[in-house]
Amino acid sequence: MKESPLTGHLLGLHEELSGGLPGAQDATVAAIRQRAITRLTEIGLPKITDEAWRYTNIRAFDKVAFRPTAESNAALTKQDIAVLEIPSLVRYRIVVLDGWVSEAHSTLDELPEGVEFNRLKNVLEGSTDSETIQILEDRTARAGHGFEALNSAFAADGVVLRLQAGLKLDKPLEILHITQNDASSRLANINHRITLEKGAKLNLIERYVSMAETRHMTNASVRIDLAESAQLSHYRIQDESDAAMHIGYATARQDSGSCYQIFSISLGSLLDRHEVCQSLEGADAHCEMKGLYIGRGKQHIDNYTTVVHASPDASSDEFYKGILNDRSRAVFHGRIRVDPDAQHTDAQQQNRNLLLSTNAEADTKPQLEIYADDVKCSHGATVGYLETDAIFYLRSRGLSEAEARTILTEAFAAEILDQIELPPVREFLLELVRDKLVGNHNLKEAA
Amino acid sequence: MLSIRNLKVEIGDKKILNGIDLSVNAGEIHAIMGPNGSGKSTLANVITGKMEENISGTVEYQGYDLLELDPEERAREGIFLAFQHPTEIPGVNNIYLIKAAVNALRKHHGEPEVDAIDFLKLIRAKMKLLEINESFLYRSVNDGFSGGEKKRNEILQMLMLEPQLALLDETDSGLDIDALKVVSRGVNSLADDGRSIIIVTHFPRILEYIVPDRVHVLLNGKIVHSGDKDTAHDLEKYGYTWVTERINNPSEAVA
Repeated sequence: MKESPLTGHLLGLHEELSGGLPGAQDATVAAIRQRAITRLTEIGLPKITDEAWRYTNIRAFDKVAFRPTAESNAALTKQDIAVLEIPSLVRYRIVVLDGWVSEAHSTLDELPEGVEFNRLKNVLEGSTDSETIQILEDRTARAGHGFEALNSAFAADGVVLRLQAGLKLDKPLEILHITQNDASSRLANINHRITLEKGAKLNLIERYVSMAETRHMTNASVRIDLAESAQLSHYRIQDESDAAMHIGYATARQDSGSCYQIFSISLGSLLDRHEVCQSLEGADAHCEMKGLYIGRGKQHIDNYTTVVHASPDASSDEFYKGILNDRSRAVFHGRIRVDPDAQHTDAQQQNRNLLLSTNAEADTKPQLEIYADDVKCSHGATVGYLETDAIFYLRSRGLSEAEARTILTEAFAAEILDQIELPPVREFLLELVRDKLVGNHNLKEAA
Repeated sequence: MLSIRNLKVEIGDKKILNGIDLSVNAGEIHAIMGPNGSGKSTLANVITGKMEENISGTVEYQGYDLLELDPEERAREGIFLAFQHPTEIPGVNNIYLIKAAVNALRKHHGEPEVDAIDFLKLIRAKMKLLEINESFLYRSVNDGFSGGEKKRNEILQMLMLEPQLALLDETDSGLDIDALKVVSRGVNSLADDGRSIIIVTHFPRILEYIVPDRVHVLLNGKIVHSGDKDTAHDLEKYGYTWVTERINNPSEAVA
């Protein structure tokens, strides 16, 4: 089958650049890359004829000459990064610049004993961490989509982090991904691997920003492994250029008694696809997936989530909300699979969409596959406008219609953000969401 | 204060209000009584601006053609409606709304924003009067409130906004006798020579605690009788049918 222009471009690019990628001389790494590129050649990048991509068309990016950039720290100053900081957040920080971990801008020496850090680049070059290498291999082997194959084929850098048993990291760790202002059509393939050993605890902030409104592509994978009783709160904040394409997938595996919480916040990029794949493999594990997406202009936001209950007595609680203005469009796919052995599963799922414009659209699709009989599962989805009764109530108290709409819209978002337990992150996001909603002419128009 | 002339609301062939004439002076308390479906809530909706279409006649309020004003302009000019069914607004906390409303009114009158400490002092005093717990302020507006809590919350907002013209739409419905007394105390604390209060109800009981100057009986979209506070007692004693009969047969009217 004839591949799309973008797939064709990327295959050509790989031929040109693969010799210079980290670990290119290593036979194991080279073999994995080759298998990945073979797979990409076979399946291509996702098309709307693929069931999982039915509503998300990437063709708008067909003609963009995406290209990875070489590793460089030169362009960015400390001041450049300072303005990107989350105010009053005390944290450890790892900066990823155009897809490369920037040790110069990170606070790696502050990381306490018990935190093992490595760059994927070093792993690839030394082929030292067979487990991490295995992940690239796994991803290629399983029937992932073309972006995953692309990621393995170009895999260059990322954060490989392990918290030793019982370590509760005293401050949040922020992985700040920056696309520089000269990085138009830059392609960043990012691979992170976060492992929490037994009883370890971490607040992880995975954040994506662009320094200019450039048309770049981020293709980011985070692989999470939680051992028994480990606890991870994961704040994923995507606020890239409104012209960019962002493809992300978080895959988490949980052992018994572990607790994983993700806040998936989508604010930027023209096309955003974010997948969360949650596998509850140990008994009594718990996961919470909270999402908030704001669509403006012609933004397209696709959240594709999967929760697999493979063990008994585990619970999952999924709640995604979206606010869609202008001609933006959102897709929510929530799949819950309860395996035959997963008795006493408690799985909840909710998706609520608020349309601020009659031209905005939301498609929501729950998919429940339940093979056990003693389970509690529920799901609900809504797509609607602001309630006229609530608008009138506020107007009858002296607030203008525009003020009433703003208050109600912010309240809709706050229902997710108020659950964030790190006050600086919560405040930062409330402010950011407010900024995104301000200047929205349609807030003033009747919906 | 308020002057309503030949007010009609017709939707299709249906006459919901059929020529209302009503004058309310500053300092007066009026009661509008009538059975369900008599048009009481429609009248309240016309005055506050919830209903904007299918209206004829005039409503003059403090020199304004009220029907020309947006709902928020009416509120800023001193009109307040205590809703029969207050809307639940999840995610907006009560104190935030009340403060925003107070400031919207102050801004309209060219006054600076309310001082945070003064505001808190004042609202605490009003809450004490209405026997409301502090946690009330930090809950979402009416969200998960009991019926009685919703009504108290309306009165709390009213006391904070100090309207010139307050309309109470069935504020008494669903209140037990203790709550009714508390709410009435709140309303009475607002009453003074400069303000007007209109109580819309179908039970006379609230009028034992908030004593009206005039009582109007609304039937089928028309005020069929206006009298002093004793009208409420007559209604309690004889019911609305008595009023209808009295109109139909004036000679048999109760002496």
